[in-house]
Amino acid sequence: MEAIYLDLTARNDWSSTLPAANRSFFYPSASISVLINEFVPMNHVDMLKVRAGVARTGYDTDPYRLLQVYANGGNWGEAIMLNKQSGLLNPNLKPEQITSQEYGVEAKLFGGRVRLDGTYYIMNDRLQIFPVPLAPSTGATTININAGLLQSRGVELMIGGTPIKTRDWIWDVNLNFTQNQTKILELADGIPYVQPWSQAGVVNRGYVKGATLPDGSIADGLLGNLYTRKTLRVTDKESPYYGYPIIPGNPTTGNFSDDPELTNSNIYSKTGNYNPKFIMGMQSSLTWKGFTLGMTFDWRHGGQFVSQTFRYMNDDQLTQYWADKTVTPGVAGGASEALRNWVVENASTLITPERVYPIGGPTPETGGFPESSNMPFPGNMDGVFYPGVFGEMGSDGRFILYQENLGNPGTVFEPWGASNVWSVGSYAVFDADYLKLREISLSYDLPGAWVKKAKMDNAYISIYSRNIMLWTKSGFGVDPERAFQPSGSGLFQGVERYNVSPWIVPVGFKVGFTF
Amino acid sequence: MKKFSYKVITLSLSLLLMLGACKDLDDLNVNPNSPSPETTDLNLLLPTVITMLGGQVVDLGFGDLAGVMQHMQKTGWQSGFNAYDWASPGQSWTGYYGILRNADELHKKAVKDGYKNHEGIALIIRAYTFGMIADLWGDAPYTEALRAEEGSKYFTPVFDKQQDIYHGILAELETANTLLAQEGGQPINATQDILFAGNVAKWRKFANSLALRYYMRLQAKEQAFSKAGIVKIASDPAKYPLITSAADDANVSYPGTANAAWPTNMVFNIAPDGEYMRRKPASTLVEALKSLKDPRIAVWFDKVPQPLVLVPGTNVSRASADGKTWEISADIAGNYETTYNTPLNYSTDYIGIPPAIGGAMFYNLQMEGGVSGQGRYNAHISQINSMYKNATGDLLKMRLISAAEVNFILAEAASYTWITGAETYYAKGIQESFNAWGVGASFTSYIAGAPYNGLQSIMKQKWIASWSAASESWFDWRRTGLPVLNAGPSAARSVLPLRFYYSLNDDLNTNTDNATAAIANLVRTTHAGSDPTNNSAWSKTWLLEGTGKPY
Repeated sequence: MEAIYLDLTARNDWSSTLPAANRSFFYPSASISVLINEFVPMNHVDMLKVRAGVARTGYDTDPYRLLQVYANGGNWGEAIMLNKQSGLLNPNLKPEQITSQEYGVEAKLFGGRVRLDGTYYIMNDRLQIFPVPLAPSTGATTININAGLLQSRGVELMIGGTPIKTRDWIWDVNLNFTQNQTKILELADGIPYVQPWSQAGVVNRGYVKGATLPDGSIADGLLGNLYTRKTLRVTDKESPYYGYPIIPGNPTTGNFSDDPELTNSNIYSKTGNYNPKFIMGMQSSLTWKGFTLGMTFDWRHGGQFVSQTFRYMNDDQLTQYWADKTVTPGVAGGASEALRNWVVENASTLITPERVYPIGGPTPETGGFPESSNMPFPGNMDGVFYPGVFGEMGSDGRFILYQENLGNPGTVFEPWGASNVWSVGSYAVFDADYLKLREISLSYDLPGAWVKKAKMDNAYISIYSRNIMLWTKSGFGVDPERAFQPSGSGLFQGVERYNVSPWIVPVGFKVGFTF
Repeated sequence: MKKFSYKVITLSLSLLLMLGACKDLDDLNVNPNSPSPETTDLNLLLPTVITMLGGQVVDLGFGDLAGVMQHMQKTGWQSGFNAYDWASPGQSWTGYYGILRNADELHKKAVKDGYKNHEGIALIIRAYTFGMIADLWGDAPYTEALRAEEGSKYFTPVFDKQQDIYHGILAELETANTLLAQEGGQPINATQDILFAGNVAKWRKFANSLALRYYMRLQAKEQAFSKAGIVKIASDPAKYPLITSAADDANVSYPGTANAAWPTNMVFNIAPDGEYMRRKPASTLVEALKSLKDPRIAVWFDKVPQPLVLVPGTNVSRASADGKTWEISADIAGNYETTYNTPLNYSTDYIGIPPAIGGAMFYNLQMEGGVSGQGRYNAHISQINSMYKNATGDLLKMRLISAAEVNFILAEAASYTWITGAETYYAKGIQESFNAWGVGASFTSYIAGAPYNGLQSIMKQKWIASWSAASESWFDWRRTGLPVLNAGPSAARSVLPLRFYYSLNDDLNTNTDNATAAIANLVRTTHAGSDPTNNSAWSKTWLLEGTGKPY
C-alpha cells in the first residue's frame, strides 16, 4: 500500500550578486501527503488526498546592485558628462527569504465525474529588496533596502465535473477560484511607506499595518492600496459651507483663473486598491459526437484601477462619460438665486460627494451657461460651473467666504471643454470588476476510421474567437484588464493607458493532426 | 569501497573549486559597464554640474519667472506662466538637490585629492544652488542635506533657516575665492570646463560676483551686514575681482545637439504649438523698450508680421492686397473688444500681450487669418525673435551672472551711498548689457534718453537686462517693489507672488515633520487666499518678513 508520501529537500546557494557576508543562504523544505481513501474505504470516492508542506526559499538580487557607479549623461559638445545617480545602491544587501506553509485537499468522486482541489497558503516574505523613496533634500530620491515582512494569505479552489456523460453527449465544466491578500506587517525603521508608482495623481503605496496615515486613519497594511489627494474642501465644521469644495481665486477682486475648478487638498487618503477580492474562471466543454463547443469565462470581482486613457481623453473632451456626468441645471435661465437654492437643496448629490461634476452643458440645449470674462470665449453658451465656494481657511481654522459659486449671480462659468478635473486623482479611479467571455471555440474531430487509415492518432478542425463579450462595472469602454498588463512605458500594476485602439475580436481557424 | 572514495574526491574537488571561485566573487560585483567613482577623473563631473545649474537658470528665467516679471506671456499651457497657478502640487526642488548631489560629489573628490581649484568650483556651484533654493522656497535642508549615504539618521534632514543658508553660502563663496587665489593648484581641464575653459581667474570673479549678489539680497533685512559685505568686495578689487565686462559673463553656450540645445528650439521639436510658439512678448516689456527706443527690442522680438488696420465697412476681416496688413471693420473690432474687455493694438512695429488677460491665445484677433488653438502662431502681434527657434546661436546662452548685473548692484549700493559712483555704474551696467546683446554701438545715443534717476532707474534697467534670466529680477522686485508690476485679471491673485510652494511630492511627502515645521515659519499675507496652509506663494519668508516690501 502506498498511502503516505514524505518529501524532504535541503539546498544552499551562494550568490555572487550579494556581499560576501550575506552571500550564503540555505533553504529546506518538507511536504507530506496522505491518501485517506487507502485507510478508510468510502463509497463513490475514488481518491481523497490531504497534503501539507512547509518550505523556505531564498532570492538574491540582480547583478551590480551593490557598488555605486557614475551614469553617462552624454556629451556637451566635446565635454563628457558623468553624473552620480539619484538612486542609491546598498552594499549591505541580504538575501530575501520566503517561508511558506501550504495545506491542501484533492478528491476524485463518482468515477472521476466530480473533481476537487483546494489549497490554502500563508507566505511570509522577509527582507524583500526594493527601492524606498527618500526626501530629495537627502541628495537621493531612492535607496535600495531589505525591508520588513510581507505576509500573503490565499485560497485556490478548483471544482470540476462532468454533469453529462452519455454515448453522444459529454459536458465538462471546471470552476476555479483564487483569492489572495498581502499585508505589510513590518517595514524598516525610518521608512514610512513603500511606493511602487505614482501615476495620474494617484500613488500606489504600502504602509505598514497599524500605522497612522496622513489623514489620521489607521493603515490596513494591504499591498496595492491607491491613495489620492482628494478635493480641497471647507474643513470648518461651524461654517454653513462645511464640506463644500473651495475653488481657487477671488472673483470679488476680479482675479480668478481661466480654469476655476476643483483642486486637491494636501493630504493623501485611500481611494481604492488594485487587487481583486477574488478571481473566478469557468471553462466549459460540450461534446456531441465529434463536435466540441468550448467556452472560457473570467470574472474579476472587486478592486479598482487607474485610467490614464480616461484622464487624457477626458481632458480633450473625448468621452461620452463626461457628457453623461455633467449635471443639467434644475433651474433654467442662467445664474440666479433660484438656481443657487436648487444646488444647495441637492447638496448631497451635487456638492458633498467625493466626485463633484460640473453643472451646465456643452451647448445651450444641454444647459450651457454663457462663459464668464477671462475665459477663452466669453459669452459662448458652453459654460459650466463647479458648485463650491471662493474663500480661504483663516489661521484660526474658520472659513472666510469671498463669494459663493453655486449658480448665484457672480458664479464663474468656464467652458465645458475645460472642465476635466486634472489635479484630483480620484477622478481617474474606477472599479475594475469585469466579466469576460474570453474564448469560444467549436471543433470537430475527424472520424476515427478515417484517421486510422491515414495512420494518425487524432485529427481535428476548429474555429475559435476571443474577447467576444465584456461586461465592466466602470462602463466607459476601457477593458480594466489592461491595467494589469504591460503597456507603453512598462507595467504599473493597476494603471492602464493608451487604450484607444479599437477592440480586437480575432476569428481563427485551426487544423490539427497528431501522429 | 573504491567507488565511494571516487565520489568523495569528486565532491572535495568541486568544493575546492567553489571556494576558489568565492574569492573572485567580489570582483564580479564591480560593474564593468559604468565608471567607478573611485577611479574616475573629477573633471568629468564639471560639465554635469554646470549644465544642470544653467538648465535650471534658463528654465526659471525663460520660463515661469519670465511670465511673472512680464517679459513674456504664454498663449498655451499658460496657467503657471501668466497666472501663477502653482498651488498644487507646488514646485519640485528635486532638480536643485540633484545639482547639489553632483556638486557635493565633486567637492568630496576635490578635497580627497587636494584639487583646490575644483574644490572652489564645487563650492561656487553649491552656493549658487543653495542660494536659489533659499530665494525660491525659503527655509530648506542645508547642513543635514545630501547625506543619505551616511545612514538613516539623515533620511529626514532638518530645514535650516533661510537666513542661515544665506550666511552659509556667503562663507562658502569667501572660501572659494581664497582657494581659487592660491597658486599652483591642479589645472582645470579646459574642454570639460564649458563655462570658463579652465580659466581660474574667471571662476574667481564668478565667486565674488555671486557673493555681491547675495550681500545685496540681504539689503532690506540685514542692512549693516549687507553694506559691510558689499563695501568689503567693492573696495578691494585685487582681493575680490569681479565680473565687470561682458566678456567675462558667466554664460554657457549650447552645442546644438539634441540633448544640448536651446530649450525652445524648433529643430528637434517641430510642434506648431511647442515651447517657442507658446511664448510671446509681454506688453509690459515691449512698451518699456519702445518708450526708451531700446535697440535690444529687435534682438529679442520680431516685428508684427501683419498689423491690424481699421477699414470702412462691416464684417470685413481680410489680408490686405499686398498681404502686409490685416484689414478689419469697426464692428469686428468692437465685438472683440467687448467680448475680451481688451483694446486692440494697431501698432505696426512691436506688440506684446498684456499680462494674464483672458483669451491670451486670441489676443489681437489671432483667430482672424490664423489657426486657432493653444500656443499657435499669431500674425497680429510680435513673436519672440526667431533666433530662439534655433538649437544654438551666439546669443542663446545659459546666463548665470553678468557684468551688467554686477554694475547695477554696485550702482544700487552707491545709490545708498555705501560706495560712490552710482551714475557711472548705472551707465556701465547698460553698456555691458548692450555689449552682451551685440548692440554696444548704440549705447551713446541711448543713454541720453535713459538718464540715471535713482533706484527706480537702476531697477528698471536691471529688469530689462535680465531678459532670458528673469529670476534675479523677481528677487529684486520682491525686495524693492521695483519695477512696479501689476497682476492681470486672470492671475491667481491680484498681486505678484513672493515665493515657490514647497512641493507636496518632495520633502512634504517624505520628510513631513521637518517640512511642516518650516511651513509654520512662513508668514501668510492677506493674498494667500485659498491656500490651506502657510505654504503659499503669497506667504513671506524671513527675507521679506517685516520689510514692508513689495507689499
